[in-house]
Amino acid sequence: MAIPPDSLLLEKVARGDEAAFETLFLRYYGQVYGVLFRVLGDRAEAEDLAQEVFLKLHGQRFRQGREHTLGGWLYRVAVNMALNRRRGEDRRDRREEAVAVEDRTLGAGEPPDPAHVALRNEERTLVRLALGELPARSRTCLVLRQAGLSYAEIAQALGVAQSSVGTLLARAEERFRERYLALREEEG
Amino acid sequence: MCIDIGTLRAYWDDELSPPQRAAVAGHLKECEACRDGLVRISALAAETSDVLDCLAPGPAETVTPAVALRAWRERAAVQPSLWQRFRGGFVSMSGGSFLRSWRAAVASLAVLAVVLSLAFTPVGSAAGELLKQFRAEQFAPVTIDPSFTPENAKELNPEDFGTFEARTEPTNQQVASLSEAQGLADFPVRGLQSVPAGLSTTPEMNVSTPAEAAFTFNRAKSTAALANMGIKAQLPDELDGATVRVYVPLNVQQVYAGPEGSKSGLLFAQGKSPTLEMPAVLDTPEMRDLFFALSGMPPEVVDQLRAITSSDTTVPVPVLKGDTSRSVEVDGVQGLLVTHKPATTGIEGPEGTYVVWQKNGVVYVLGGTVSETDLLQAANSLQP
Repeated sequence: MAIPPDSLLLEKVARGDEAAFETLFLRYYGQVYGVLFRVLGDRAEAEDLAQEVFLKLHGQRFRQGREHTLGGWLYRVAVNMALNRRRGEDRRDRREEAVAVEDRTLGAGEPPDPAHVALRNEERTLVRLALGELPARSRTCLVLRQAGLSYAEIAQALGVAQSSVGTLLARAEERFRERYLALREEEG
Repeated sequence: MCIDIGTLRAYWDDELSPPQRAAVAGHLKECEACRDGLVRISALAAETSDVLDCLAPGPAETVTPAVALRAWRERAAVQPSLWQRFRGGFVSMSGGSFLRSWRAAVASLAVLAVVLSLAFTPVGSAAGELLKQFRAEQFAPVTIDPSFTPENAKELNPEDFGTFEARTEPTNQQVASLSEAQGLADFPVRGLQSVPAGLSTTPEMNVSTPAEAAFTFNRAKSTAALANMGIKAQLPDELDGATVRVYVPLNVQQVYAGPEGSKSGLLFAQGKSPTLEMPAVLDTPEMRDLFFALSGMPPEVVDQLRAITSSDTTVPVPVLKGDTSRSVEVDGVQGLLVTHKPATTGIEGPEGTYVVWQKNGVVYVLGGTVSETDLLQAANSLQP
């Protein structure tokens, strides 16, 4: 059976076809959630915003007869929501939040190996702090690439030209490495 | 190095077009500096990827899409938001993907306006008057800091205070011509005589049928919800069963698209003024204070709202801090012109502008990715 393309499904959604919407939901949920989780670091928050992204999609009407990169649209909405939620936190807040988030995560699941999880959470805290010191666009670019998005999707999500994604990534990586190493030094 | 780092980075990710890729590969054979550059860049990419890998959701943090879908269905069903309900209404500019951000902006604006107008219960209406009606006759800008979004006030769940009911759901219908739209509308449908250069001269046309929704307060629920929020309030008995009714009449939208693939375009919407009715019991200074307190709006926004006179006919139009707004003469009346400046607001999206005005009971919104001059020229070209 042929896999229906996004554009066809979107047209059906516009006509009120709920089954088409469910197909799109199942197709993109994992990736959208993955992006949000990486940005926010909190399962409940990521789930909440992922739901909002799809509520927005549900009410959205795309123009018929045009090719839409739905992925790019979804990630853009997701990233903007996540950044809005994180806006205005200064470094100290971020540090506290980063630690608090990992504490919550630690308490929430049932980790097979607590020592391993504690180590991972410590690492996550450090990585988040380093990311937090990057400009929002660099930070987001790194996270989106890490979540497995293509350059085209990243470009659409960030609202930049596809040809500048490589440069953004390379610069962001340099900057991240610098901040990450400096923070590790500080932490001892 | 002869090839820039961005291109090398994309080469490493296999994200170049085949001809670009071949050109880079050819150059690499010849150039040692670029080969070294590629080694450095790829090593850094791999190292960063290893470090960032810890952010990926672990097994206990993964959500099954099918489970999420069920949760979404439940949430969508209870989601009472005016946002969803009125999407198809007077501001729900359907059509044009180029207007995506505009549409979102204008739709959120309308929702906010409806929500805010609840705060606009004019104080001092005639004592015997049981029902107070609000119409859109004029528009006043209210500056809002972009970091404030209605999301910040989301703890306020309307369902905790009463029942939301979508009495009439709007439908959208494409029409082929103005005369077809006129056949459906109960007001004179007007068309633009002049459209800014570069835009299609044959608009896509849409008619949205009327929408009606009502919110009925439940006094016991409201008291409990307030108590939950730590507010002890003596609510008037008449609040129980008091219904706020919002009616958005039929409206016509025309979309003038820009060249294929561009994000430019112009949208023109027209429809009789939406109305909002509420019983006089909601029309007290105490209720208004309570609403402001609950809304979570920043004090400077509340101050601006309180400053608006003739609140039963004035729609507050949220304007982002950094955007500009001014009163203009348009179509022979006073309108409000708002221009979005992505650079100063920090909110991405195309630079664009819109003007909103009311004439003979019909509300007009014209907006798009054009200059203020072009926009006003188009607005003033309306058929009488």
